[in-house]
Parts: sequence; C-alpha cells; structure tokens
Amino acid sequence: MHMKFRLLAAFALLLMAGSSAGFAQEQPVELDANESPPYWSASMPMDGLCGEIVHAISAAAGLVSHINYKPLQRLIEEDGNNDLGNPNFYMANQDFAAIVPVCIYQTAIFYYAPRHKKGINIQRVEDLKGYRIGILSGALVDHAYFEKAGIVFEQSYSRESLFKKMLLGRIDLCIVADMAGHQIISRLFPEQHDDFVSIHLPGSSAPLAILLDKNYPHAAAIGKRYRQGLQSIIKSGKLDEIVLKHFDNQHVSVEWLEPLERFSRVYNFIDSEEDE
Amino acid sequence: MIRHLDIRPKIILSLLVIMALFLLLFETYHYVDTKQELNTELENLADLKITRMAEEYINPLWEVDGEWVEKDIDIEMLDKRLYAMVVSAEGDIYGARVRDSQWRSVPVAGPISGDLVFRQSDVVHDGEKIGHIKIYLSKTFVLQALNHQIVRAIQTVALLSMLMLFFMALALNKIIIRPLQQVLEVTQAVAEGDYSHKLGIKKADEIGQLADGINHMQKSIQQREDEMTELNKRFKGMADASPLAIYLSNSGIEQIGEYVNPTFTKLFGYALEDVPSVAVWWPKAYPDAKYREQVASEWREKLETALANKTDIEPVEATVTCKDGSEKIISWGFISTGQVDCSFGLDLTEIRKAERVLNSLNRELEQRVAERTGQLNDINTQLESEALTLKKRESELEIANAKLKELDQLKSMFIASMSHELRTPLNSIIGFTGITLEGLSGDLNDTQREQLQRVHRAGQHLLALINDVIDISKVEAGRSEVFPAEFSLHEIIDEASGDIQPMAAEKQLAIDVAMPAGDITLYTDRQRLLQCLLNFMSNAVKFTERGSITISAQEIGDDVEIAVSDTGIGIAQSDMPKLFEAFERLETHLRVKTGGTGLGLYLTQKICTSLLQGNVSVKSTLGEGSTFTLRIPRRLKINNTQT
Repeated sequence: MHMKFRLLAAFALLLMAGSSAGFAQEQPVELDANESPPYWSASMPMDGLCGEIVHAISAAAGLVSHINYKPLQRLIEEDGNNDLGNPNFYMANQDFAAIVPVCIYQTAIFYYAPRHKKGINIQRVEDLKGYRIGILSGALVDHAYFEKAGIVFEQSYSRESLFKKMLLGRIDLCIVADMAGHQIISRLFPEQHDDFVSIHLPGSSAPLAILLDKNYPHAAAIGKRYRQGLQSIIKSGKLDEIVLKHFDNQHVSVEWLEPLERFSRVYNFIDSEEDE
Repeated sequence: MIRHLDIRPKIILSLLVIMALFLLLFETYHYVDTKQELNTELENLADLKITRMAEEYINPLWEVDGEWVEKDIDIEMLDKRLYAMVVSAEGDIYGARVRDSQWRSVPVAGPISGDLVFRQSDVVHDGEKIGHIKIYLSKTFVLQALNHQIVRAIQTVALLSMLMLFFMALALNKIIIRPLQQVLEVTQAVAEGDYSHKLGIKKADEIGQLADGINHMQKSIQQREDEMTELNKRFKGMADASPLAIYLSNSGIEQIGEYVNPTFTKLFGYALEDVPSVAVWWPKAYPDAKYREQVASEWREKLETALANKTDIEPVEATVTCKDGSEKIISWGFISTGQVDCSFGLDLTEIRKAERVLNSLNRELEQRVAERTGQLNDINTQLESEALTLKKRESELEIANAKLKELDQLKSMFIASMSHELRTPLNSIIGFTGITLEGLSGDLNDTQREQLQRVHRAGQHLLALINDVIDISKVEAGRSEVFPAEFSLHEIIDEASGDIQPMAAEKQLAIDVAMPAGDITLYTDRQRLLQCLLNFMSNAVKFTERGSITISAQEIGDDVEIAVSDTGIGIAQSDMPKLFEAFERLETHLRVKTGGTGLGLYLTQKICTSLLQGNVSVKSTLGEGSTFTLRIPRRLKINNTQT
C-alpha cells in the first residue's frame, strides 16, 4: 500500500524541480520551474522555499542559478531544458546528466468539509472511486492505471481553481502538495481555512530536485557542484534556517535529511551509470 | 448670371448638376443600404460573439479562474467594436470592462448606456448554469463607417462627376461645342458681310445638318445680297434716269434725306446737301406758310383716307417753288416701306398749260357738236316717222299673207273634199265600162267598143288626176300621215325597178341599177319614198325614146341621195322654173303621147319636202337627158306636229 501511495505521490502534483547551473561562474544556470508556492514561486522572496534553497546551494557552490517559470505541462513536454521539480515527472520524456534532490514534500488530499459532513476517509487508491477528484493538469503521469481502477480525475490548470471548484462543490477533493495546498487555502480562503481538511498520504514523500539536461554543457560537473553546495548548506545550517522560516520554526529539515540522502543516492546512481 | 454664360459652361454646369444629383441619389441609396447592412452585421456579430463567449467561458468559469476570465475579457475588449462586457459567475467571479472617453478598456464604474447592441447569455456546464455574460457592442464604428461612407461617397461623387464631366466635356466639345463655335464664327462673319468662310463640318447628325443649313443660308444670303446690290444698282440707275423727281428719306421722326435723283435737282435746283431733311425741304418748296399748311393738310387727309380704306395714298398736286424762284406744278406721290419714305413728283407744269389750251378748244368743239346734234336730231325725227310708216305697211302685209295662207288651206281642203266626192262615181264608171268592154254584159260592136274604151281611158285619167289632187291637197292641208319603218334601200330600189321594168321593156329601154357596196337601212315612210321613185322612173321612161334608165344611190353624211338618170329628151333651161309647178306640162313632141296630169313632180316635191324631210333637184341637158335627185335623211325625225 505504501508503494501505491508512493507511486501516487510520485506522479501527483507539484514538481518543484531544480536545474544545474552553467559551469562558468559568470554564466547563470538556467532552470525551469512551475509556479507552485510555497515551493517555487516568482512572487515569493528568493523564489519560494525550494527556490531559496537552490539559490543557497548555488551560492555555496559558486554558481548562479536563474529560475524561469512555465506551465507544468510545458515543462514536461520540453526535453532540452533544465528542470526543477519531481524527477518522476520528467524522466519519462528526457535524459538528464545529473539529478540533485534539494527538498522533500508530501502529497495530501484536500476536501471541503461543509460539503462532506461525514468526512472522507481515504486509505487505499480504491477509496478514491466515486469522488470527483481534481488534479493539476500535467500532474497525472499514469492515466491508464487509474482509469483501470475506475477513478476519474478532473484536471485544472491551477491549484487555485482546484480549491475554488472544491468550495463550489464542482469537485469533491483534490490532490496537491500539502504545503502548497495550505498556502493556497490561507491565501484564498483565510476565513474558511479550517473548513478544508487535508489528508496526508503515508509514504508519499517525494523529492524536489535540480535536473540538468544530458546535453547541457558541463551538466555532470555542475551537478556535482550542486551536490557539494547542498552538503555545504546542510552543514552550515543554512538549509535548516531556510526551512524554519517557511515552516513556522518547525525543524522539518531534520526529517528531510534521511530521504534526501536516500533520493540523492538513487539519482546519483543514475548519474554514476551514465558516467560509466 | 447663368443666362449670360456661353453654351459650354451652361452645358457643363447642367451636366455637372445632373451627374451630381444622380450620383448623390445613388450614394444616398448606397448609404441607407450600407447603414442597414452594417446594423444587421453588428447584430449578427453580437449574436456570434455571445454564442462563442458562452462556449469559451465554460472552462474559465468552471475553473473559477478569475485571472483567466480577466484575461479573456481583456482579449475580447481588443475588439474595438465591443463597448462593454460583464462576466459574472459563482465563486465571486466578476469581470467587467467598459470603454472610457478615449476608448480604452477600463473597469465598469457605473451603468452602461448609449447607442449599443446588447446581448446576454448564461454559461452552462453539463446543464448547470455556472455564470452569465453580457456584452454591449457599440454602434460608434457603424456610424464611423457610415461617416466614412459619406466622405467616400462625397469623394466618389466629386471624383466621378469630375471624371465624367471631363470626358463628357471632351465629347461635348468635340461633338457639339466646337462645331457650334465654328458655326458662330461663320455666322458672325456672315453678319459682318464676310461670306468667304464656309463650314467644313461633315456630319450626318443635327450639327452637320445645321452646318449644311448655314452653308446653304450663307450662300442664299450672299446670293440675295448680290441680287439686292444688283437691284439697288438697277434701282439707282432707274431712279437716276427716272423722269420723276425722287426724294428718299428715312422713316424716322427727323426724316433725314438719303437720296435725291438728278431729275429732282434738275427740276428744283436743289442737291441733297441743300435739303438734308424733309423739315428743311418743305419751307423751301412751300415758302408761303399758309400754302404749306394747306398742302400738309391735304397730305394728312389723303393719308387718313388711304389708311382707312387700306389703299395707296392718292397723289397730291402742289405748286413747288424752285431754287431759282420759279414755280412748278408737281403731282406728288408717296410710298413708305416703314424704313424708307419715298416722295416722287411728276412735273405737270407743261401738261397743265396744255390742258388749259385743250379746255379752250374743247369748249369750242362742244359748241359745234351741239349745233350739229340739233341738225341730226331733226333728220332723225323724220326718219323715225318714215320707219313707222314702213312698219305699218309690213304689218298690213303680214295680215294679208296670213289671209292668203288661210285661203290656200281652204282651197286645199275644198279640193280634197271635192276630189273624194268625184272618185266614187268615177270608180263606178271605170268598173262598169271595164266589165262591159270585157263582154260580160254582152257583145259590143266596134263603135260601141271604141267609145266605151274612150270613156274607160278618160275615167282612168280622171281618177289618176283626182288621186294626185287628193294627195297634194292632203299634203298641203297637213292631213297626210307618215308611217316610218325600217327597210332596205336595195330592196325598195329593186321593187321600183321591177315595177317600171314592163314599161321600159315596151320601149326597149334598159334599166341600170348602181348601188354602193353593202346594204343601207332607212327609217322613213316606205310607201311615200316608193311613190316618189316610181314617179321619177315613170317620167324617165315616158320621156326617153332610146337608151337606158339608171337608178343610183349613195350615202352623204346622215342622208341618202337617190338619183334617176335617163338618156331622154332633156329639159330646156327656160323650162326649169316651171318644172315643179302644179298642172304644168312642158311643151314637147312627147306631151300628147305620154299623157299625164301635170301633178307628178309637184306631188313628188311636196312629199319629199313636207313628209320625208328632204328635197328634190334636177339637172338636165336638152336632147341628152335628165337626172332627178331625191335627198332625204336616213332616219326620219319624228315630229308630233307632222301628221
């Protein structure tokens, strides 16, 4: 079951990816991301949580990174760029020289409680059946699996739409990154914040990484530098400092170290294979 | 002002006005049509837009995506025709734009109004209304388009008018104006007396006909002017040579003198310079004011009479004082053409003198004639008296003649009556003597037979005489009837020849008949004609001893002439007058032998003239023979009085 939710978390929503920087210090590394606050957002200071981490890593690695925001679908379909987000969204269509996880997020199911007085209990994928489920367009990786399970998704172009539709009863629930969902609710419906219920999916943690295209110049070297930068800010406490700021002084970053290490090894393995 | 323009600007102005009116009408129609079309187009556009938007806004409204809605509204507002737009939906979705004064798209701040086309529609997703759209299309652009249309129409009208005007002016100039100018130039030249110009327009249209007409007119005018010049020359020649004194002046109030002929100058001693006007001439001609007024008064009277009777002005005789002081008696005539007055005077001075002499002679002659007339009247009275006497005698003679005619008629009636009374006993005498001579009453001795034979012959002679007398008396008394009928001339001559043949045969005389070819039909009294022919032929046989008798006939006009000729003893010229007298028998050696009553020719003539409307004639030479001719009309004219 954990595997199922892991899979769900893998294809679902937010792709808060990073990208490698140009090797030459004077030339910034161009990275593409989807606007998904609080992880990636052009309107937030230092491009949001993950954006700030990428900039800190870059600074620690002696690189300059520049984040460009594009729709998720476009990010997935373009295969010559550097991406920031969940590697699972992009790896099916594109080969990367380096994948550097920089942040961990969890996927959550949200519903508007006044419209579901009895509450919604989701323990298995099959429990989603019969609900109108909203999902961000492009976030659904494996259509066939869910269609076979009889689960129908209604895709929207923005996370805000998902919550607004949910409020109007046009969908029953939506699946988004937990922090992003809360951030949207706080922004759009601050007075009704408590009317929205989120269900954390166990084992749904997923990385948000910097993905450097295979053909990007010095991509592997830049990836190494990003990894070194990450290690550097972890050691310096910069990472914890950034996370504390975004999680109301909760030391969530401590919980990230183990999965970051694990995902780093997984994707570093890919790098190593390619190196060989 | 237009009236004083030349024909070219007039035509061009007229064409311009007509074309402008026509094009304005057309463009007005086009404007109205375009306005309607644009309004319809705008209505259709509004329908299309609202239909499309109702579809397009399903996703944004369903997604409750305010930004998306706003962006779409902004995109829609890029269409300048869209004046305002309002989108409202659940989830506090509300987007509204309206145009400000500078036609920028701005948020709606108040009610939307104006000359707008309004449409609205619900946005429905799966049968559920999720929002509502209102759009307001502005008619400003329609009006602008129409304004552009007006401007374009004006430009088009102006341009087309100018173009058409240009080309029509070119065409008019070539077709009408230039030829007319040529015509004008030629007519002006003609008016100035220059006939050397000729129009060279060779066209079959009205202009060409006009040019031909003007050329012809010019030729005619020139011809007439030549004729007038010639006429004037002749007139002047005649006036110069005229024995009449002529003074020509214009017909204006001043009556300025224009011409005096040599006779005038010779007669009165004045040249035209001496009498430059009638006002100068009159005091010189009639220096005595009283006499002048008398002459003027007579002129006025004659003039009024002529005007009243619509006749010519009768001449006025006046004594004119000449330059040298002498006086002339002039008979003045006057004619006026309305432009020129002509006074012409005939010098009667010598005539009047001669008249005075003549009058004196006339008086003397009249006195002599009166004397002679008295004498003639006396003679005439005497002659009239003699004529009356003669007339009286003539009347007496007429009365005597009438009495004689009456007596002659009584005589004839008496003879007819008496002859009839005689014939009855004669018939008994002849009949019984005949019977006795034939021995039916018994045998006669020679003496008795000889005596009875004398009685019988005397009776027959007397009967023939009485018959002739009866015939004559009937003819003369007008009691003889005529029975006309159609018959053949050949036939009657054959019958007459046949009847006479035995007599001729006894004397061994031949009878010859000479007839024209072809038969001649007569319409007359056959019996009377036969009687006449038998008389002629029996006379011929009686008075011919040897030779032959010839009977001939011929047509002469409407008459027929029948002649009986013999080779007998002939008739002396001295006996000719007595030939047709009654009871006249000419003295010949055959008188006793032939016998006769002496009434045959007389009766024949009477029948021929009185009954057959013809006549008889005779030609004879003593010892050689005679020819008796009878001429009668082929067709007898029926006269009721001829009975």
